[in-house]
Amino acid sequence: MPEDELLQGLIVDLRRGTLVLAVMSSLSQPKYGYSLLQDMENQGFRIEANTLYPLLRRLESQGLLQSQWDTAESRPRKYYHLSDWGRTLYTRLREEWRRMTREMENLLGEDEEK
Amino acid sequence: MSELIARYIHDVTRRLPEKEREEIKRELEASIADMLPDNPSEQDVIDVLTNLGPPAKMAEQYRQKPRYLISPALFDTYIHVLKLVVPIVAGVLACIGVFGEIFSDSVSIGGVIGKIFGGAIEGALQAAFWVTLGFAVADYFGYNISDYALKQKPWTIDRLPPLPDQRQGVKISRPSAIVGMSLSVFFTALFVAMIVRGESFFVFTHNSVIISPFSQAALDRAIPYILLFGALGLVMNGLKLYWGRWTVPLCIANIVNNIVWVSVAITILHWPDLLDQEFIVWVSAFIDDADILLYITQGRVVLFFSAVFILAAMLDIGVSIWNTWRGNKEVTV
Repeated sequence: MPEDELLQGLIVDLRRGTLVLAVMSSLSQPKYGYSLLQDMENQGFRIEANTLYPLLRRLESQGLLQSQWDTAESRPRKYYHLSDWGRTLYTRLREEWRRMTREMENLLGEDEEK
Repeated sequence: MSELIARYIHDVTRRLPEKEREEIKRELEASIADMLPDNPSEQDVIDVLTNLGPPAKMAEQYRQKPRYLISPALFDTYIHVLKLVVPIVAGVLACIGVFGEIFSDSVSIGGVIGKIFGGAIEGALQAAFWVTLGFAVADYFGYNISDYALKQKPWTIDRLPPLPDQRQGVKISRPSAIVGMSLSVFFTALFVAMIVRGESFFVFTHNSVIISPFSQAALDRAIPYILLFGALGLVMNGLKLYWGRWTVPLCIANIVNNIVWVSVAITILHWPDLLDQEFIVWVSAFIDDADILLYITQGRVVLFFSAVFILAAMLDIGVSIWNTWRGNKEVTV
């Protein structure tokens, strides 16, 4: 139904804004793609593989993450972690998120009183 | 089975820039291997690949830059330039085609019309192609006009353009004025060319002899006046295009225009050598009468056409006065 489609689209838009913050929050220790995916799912955050893997690459190209290939194990794996600058940015982003959440709660809370 | 994986990865990377392919291939191989159990079955592979979703979508996520021919930032400017350049080039090529055809060895109405359409279409296509190419190249090299504009100075309220048609008055449609100008140029060129080349469309044939109604001498003398008519038409339509509505100055110009063309036309009508002698002979064969009667008839014909011209001019003047008055009186509720 078209209303469902619209709702799904709006929900996707909402979620899209939280992706970068969510990913960065999980990367204080180095992780590889699949382990990050599993960790986030275990914490209840829904993200698709075909979104996460390209996102990691993009964040690296923006300087927020750093990567290295680990060839010690049986299979080579690419580990990502926050860069120094990424760490700084993450802190500020998290602050901003908390501010926004308070703003939204005020707004949404008002509505329920009506 | 690993062939499926290889094919999947290939379908993703083939859509991506070449320098990124190798790295992304390695990443995907590692990630997919992680998502599979040890000794995966074919069904496991199928499940994982299906879960990853369409390669096209994956590739789109990997792409750093979105793919446009002409990006949204430049698109408005592109359309604007297109609307400006294409009609001009089409018009110019159509005119060139017409003049080429008229002054070529074999002229025909069909040829002229063909050259008009051919020139216009070719002009339009060429212009559209080169403008598009130019903008696509500019976009590729990252030239962003809105960035450039923003760097100039911040927008302030006085940069607002005025509303388009706040002026009062009866409007004159732009296309009709443009068509008028084109026709003036076209027919002037056509008639002058025909006279200069000694050919004419207005002919009669009699016993396989081609007779033109007007004498060549008169036609030759008429050339400056034909040019005058063309110039008048051009100027009048140009004024109509420029002002876009009926105003008092435009009305006065139109009155002058009509007075001039009618006076000149009637003067030409009264030239004694206007009609070709052969033509008179040919017509008198039909009338089957003496020269005197023909002279009277000829006189009447001149009177008739004079009256028609004067009537047409008065009508045009009247309509323009009416439009001017109607548009410019105060509107009271």
